[in-house]
Amino acid sequence: MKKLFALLLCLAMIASMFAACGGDDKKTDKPAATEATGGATTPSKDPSDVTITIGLPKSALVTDYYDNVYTKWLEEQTGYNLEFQFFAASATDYKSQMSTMVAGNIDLPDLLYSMNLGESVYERYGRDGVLVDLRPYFDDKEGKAAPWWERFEALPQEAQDNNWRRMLSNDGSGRIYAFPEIQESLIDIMDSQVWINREWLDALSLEMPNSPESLYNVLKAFKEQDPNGNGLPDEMPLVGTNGNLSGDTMSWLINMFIYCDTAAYFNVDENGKLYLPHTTDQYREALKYIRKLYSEGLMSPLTLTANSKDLTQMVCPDEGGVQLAGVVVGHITLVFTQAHEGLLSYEALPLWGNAIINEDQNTRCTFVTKSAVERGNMDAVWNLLMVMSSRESSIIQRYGEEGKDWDWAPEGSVSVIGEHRAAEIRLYQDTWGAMGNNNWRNVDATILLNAEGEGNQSVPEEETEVNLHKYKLFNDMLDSYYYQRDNFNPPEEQICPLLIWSQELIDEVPYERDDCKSYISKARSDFITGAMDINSDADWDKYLAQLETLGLSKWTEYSQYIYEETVAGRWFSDLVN
Amino acid sequence: MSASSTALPVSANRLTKGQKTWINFKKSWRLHLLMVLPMLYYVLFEALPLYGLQIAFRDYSPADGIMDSAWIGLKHYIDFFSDWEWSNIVVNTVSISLYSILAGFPIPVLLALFIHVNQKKVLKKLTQNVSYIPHFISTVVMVGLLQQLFHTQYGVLAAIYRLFGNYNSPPDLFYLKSSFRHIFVWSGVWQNMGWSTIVYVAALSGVSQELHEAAKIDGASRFRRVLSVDLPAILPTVSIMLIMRFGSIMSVGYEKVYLMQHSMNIDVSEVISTYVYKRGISAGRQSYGTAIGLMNSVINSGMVILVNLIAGWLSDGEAGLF
Repeated sequence: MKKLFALLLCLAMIASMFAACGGDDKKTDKPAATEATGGATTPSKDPSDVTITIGLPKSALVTDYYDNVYTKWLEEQTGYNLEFQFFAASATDYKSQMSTMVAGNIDLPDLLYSMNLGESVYERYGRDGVLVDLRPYFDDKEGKAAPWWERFEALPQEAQDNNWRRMLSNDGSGRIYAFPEIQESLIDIMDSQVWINREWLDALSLEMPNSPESLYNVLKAFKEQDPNGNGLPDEMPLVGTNGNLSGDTMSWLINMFIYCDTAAYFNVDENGKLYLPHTTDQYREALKYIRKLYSEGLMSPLTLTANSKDLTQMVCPDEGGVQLAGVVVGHITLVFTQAHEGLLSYEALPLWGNAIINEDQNTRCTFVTKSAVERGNMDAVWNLLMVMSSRESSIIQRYGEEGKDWDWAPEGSVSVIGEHRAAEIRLYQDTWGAMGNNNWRNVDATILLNAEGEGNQSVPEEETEVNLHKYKLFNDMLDSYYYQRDNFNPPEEQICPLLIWSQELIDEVPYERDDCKSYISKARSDFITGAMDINSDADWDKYLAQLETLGLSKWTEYSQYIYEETVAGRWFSDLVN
Repeated sequence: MSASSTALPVSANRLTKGQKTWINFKKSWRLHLLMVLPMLYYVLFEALPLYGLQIAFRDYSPADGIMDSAWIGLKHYIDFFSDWEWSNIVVNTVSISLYSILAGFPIPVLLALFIHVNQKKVLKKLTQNVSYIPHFISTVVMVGLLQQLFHTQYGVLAAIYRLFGNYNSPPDLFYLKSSFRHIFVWSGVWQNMGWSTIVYVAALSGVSQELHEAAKIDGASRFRRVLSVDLPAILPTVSIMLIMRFGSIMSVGYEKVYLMQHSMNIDVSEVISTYVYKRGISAGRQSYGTAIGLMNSVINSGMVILVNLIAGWLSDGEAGLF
């Protein structure tokens, strides 16, 4: 009897365990199922019945996505309910998350917002049917896509062509998986923004440097002659960031010697042949120069690793501290703390050498997944995208709440940057780098035109001295950049345009490009830190030989082919409208 | 019940082995029943997923599913071995792993002996607790600490430099290639040495007092007793731990390496697990990641068997795990 009872008890336990599992499954299935049937009805269904799930990398700066000015604004405009599914913040991690979800056939959000999946990855998702081809929607120029086209066509023709090429699938099929982020933003177009401590120059009665040699002398003086006057040799003559937004120190230093675009890689010679600047003698000279700065302690080791936050304390010290940095490379709004008087000591360094200008720096995209189709949400999702890329939405995504963070500028206002331009908005406070819930701290699925873009606000009536100086610095830097471009850069035909690789060619040269690129960046650090000796011919030859082993010739050869086709207007020409 | 069990020895000689097992089972079936859930767990979550390993030999596409993806044989392995970095990655993995074992394995044993020898109870507990604490720091925080410690402008090292009147930046130890392994390994030793002593301290407390007394009578000093009584007593535990440690020689904890990686030290910091994560999972090439992971596991299992054989051979079959 006891035995029987025990057996029954065990069986009941096991059964209840399975029942519990089954129950859970049903629970998770349920909402999806109802949505699918709800969405399968005609598009005329009530918007409040539509729930769209947005997948996005969670920003640490957003305090609440649901109780959020932008979310509420979108819900009000469209009538839909918005749900969120959060992904990790770093690109490698959200890519893994995405890849695991796809492999496990887990329900995806309708929309993947602000994800830089990378072309080869999203193209494959597209082929596997995970992402939806948006071309039919874009082709409906007069109808469904009309609001988008109206804004898109306000862009300069070149930007339109570039963006359209970027959107098109590179298998030549003409499909579009990526809904682009398009942002014209003057403040971000430079590879490197360089600021010099005017007070230090004055204290030592030095001239503004205007060549690599004079820069070296100024830095040396900064180090040895105690320009901050505290009696300690604690000055850091040059400190910068490593490839951060508009803070690429190496790009600035190398471009004093040779035109070297970190994005396009190749240059074109007089005969129309591509060559890699990283193999030239001028590049070697540049590295020798940087090595000299590094080994003599004129350039901080931070320059190779830091982000802009690491520098803030050196230029905007706390109460009672002293400034420690002479020349600073970094984005003006990121390096300098808002409203800190430290900024007043600095001036834009009039640059010489080549200027790398990234007119087209947007790489993130928004994607629509098959889940949107399965749930019958496709039209609603497209409608949401149209609302998101509208003028007002784009401004809210960047600046936050209308009336509180910004307002429309009065007629005839002039922008604080690029003074010939008209300004459309007036900014009360820039909340971009602060915690808050007034937007998603992301500007994807937008078209943000220059007149609305960052830096093109009008000057508020009562502006602080620090902010006025900031606008001045920025305008000076911009002028310097345009001056460089017009006076130093190689002629346009020697600059390689953005090369778009078709899937076919990627399959033939799958690893060479990335291997060479990562080796170039590794070797550059090695030469600078001294792990390899830039002054030794043996090490330099080893570097060249290694590039050859990694497939530099093959990479160059294929790039040459794409370049020639692009220049002749044949590459994808039938697909570019 | 009691009648049948007293009768058992009489008839035992005539029972076959199978019958004996059956009788034993009938006696203790409730205990066996307890094993059902764990067994179920292993079948569902450990054994059945092995079926998915076949994607290591397929060009897996989620759209086609596991069985219908194209069979490509050893292509992923050919790809891996034709990657110019492969030898570098394997060397990095093994050298970091070996270095961790060499530096990190003997220290907890020594620390455990030290704790055991200590007569003062308060000091003993204090040592134990203080040395456990770092174990509870999460990897992310740990790497953050290291980064701050070696920061060339605000770090402790820079402060020490300044203390001695040297205002140059100290070498950027956290990012430099030459220091990566040392920082990785020794921070790991610092973090885990206390925690790893637990098992040895437990083994030491089980050492028979009679042995110690006998040694004392023979005139052995405290140090002599550590060498001749304590150490031999925990040797089997040590060897089992060592064998298990070698079972993961091809796997370096992925989190910490990944967090400490930077383009400056990538030459020495790219290990198999980070490579699989980046080139396999992140890039959406699950089957490539699986293929390398499988190879890794096979080598790890091989290492366990090999080290077990060596341990058995060195100790005449006493110290082996199986």
